[in-house]
Amino acid sequence: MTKVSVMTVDDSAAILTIIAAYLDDTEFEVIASERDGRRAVRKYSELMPDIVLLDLIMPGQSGMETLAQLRAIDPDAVVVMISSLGTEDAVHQCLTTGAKSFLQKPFARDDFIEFMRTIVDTG
Amino acid sequence: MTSRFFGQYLLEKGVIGREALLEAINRQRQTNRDFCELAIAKGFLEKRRAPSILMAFRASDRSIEEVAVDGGYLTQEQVDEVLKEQKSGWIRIGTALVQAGHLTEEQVEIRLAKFHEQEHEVEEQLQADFEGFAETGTLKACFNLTAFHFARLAGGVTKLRLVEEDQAEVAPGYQRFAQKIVGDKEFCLAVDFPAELVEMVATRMLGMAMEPGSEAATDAVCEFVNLVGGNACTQLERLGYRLRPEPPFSSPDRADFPGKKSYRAGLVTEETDFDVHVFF
Repeated sequence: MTKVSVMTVDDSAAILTIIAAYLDDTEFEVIASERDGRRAVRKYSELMPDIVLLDLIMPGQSGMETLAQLRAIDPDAVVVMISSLGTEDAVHQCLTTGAKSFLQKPFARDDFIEFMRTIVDTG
Repeated sequence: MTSRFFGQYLLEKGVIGREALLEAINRQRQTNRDFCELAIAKGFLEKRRAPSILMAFRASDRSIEEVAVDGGYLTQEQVDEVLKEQKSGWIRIGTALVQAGHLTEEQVEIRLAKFHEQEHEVEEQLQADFEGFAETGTLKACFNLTAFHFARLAGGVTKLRLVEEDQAEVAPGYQRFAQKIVGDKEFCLAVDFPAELVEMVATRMLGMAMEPGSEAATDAVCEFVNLVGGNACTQLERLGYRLRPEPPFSSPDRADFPGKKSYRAGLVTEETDFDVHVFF
């Protein structure tokens, strides 16, 4: 069975580790992990993952800027923002900029897997 | 008070999609009028005076109505009239979704009940007295969420024992992890952990043993502070503040904030204790 490819982008190595562990032994495969938005945009063009999990608050190039660039490269890019910040403003801005959805930290493994399946099911 | 926005919860659960949530938020923004805007429309407040009220509001954690009356901008009767009109026209996200045809009232009611049931209401674990602190709302959000997230990681009970103003130096044997919050107000949240807690938090965050003092351990504990800071910003949005966290850090040369007013809370667990500071 072909796995759903995922690219994770977060300046926190801890979050990248947690997500990789959560997705281990599921129908999802983490094909790339990046800690920098600019590198993530370049990697996206090479790999074209099915889903991008993108941190909102990052040093250097922000999550919002990275989102805008990903959507510019590929209007069909499926990008899910993740953040401990879940204000209405932040959610609104991310969705307006083209994020498919938004996941607030912290999240438990089972809830995360269910969420990822919803993302796949809703195309 | 939860640290999650109901609309985002519905999105996360797949109950609504992106377009539905955007439509509902936009509908709210067209309908819901803010306090100063209404006061101006009613002729109670001159437009040029509104920035002063907002500045005073952001400098403390009092409600904008209190600030308006205490500052002599509006009378209590005028405030009551503005609030009455604001409330009569105000719609919540659930109502906006119903009005836009994305959910029924019954569906909203059921989901809201689940939201309140499932979402971790941050319990008031404070045993300390906040009387006399101007920044009570901010301090409560930061200290309560630190206790809540620590308890979630460590298990057991974490209680806040003390809140006081202090000079906020890092005690010997402790490592400071901090995050600056910016926007309508600026402050810095800092958690001082003893070495054994650094290791524990890092291990629990990642679900694997961490080498003490390693970059990975520091990064994991920074992420802990990031959870607290980001969730605090979300909670404080309900008080009317637009805030966002900057990336968290831990570094001796950035860990002190000379000249800043500082409050310290002592947190106590079954086995140890640590400090949380908020600098303004």
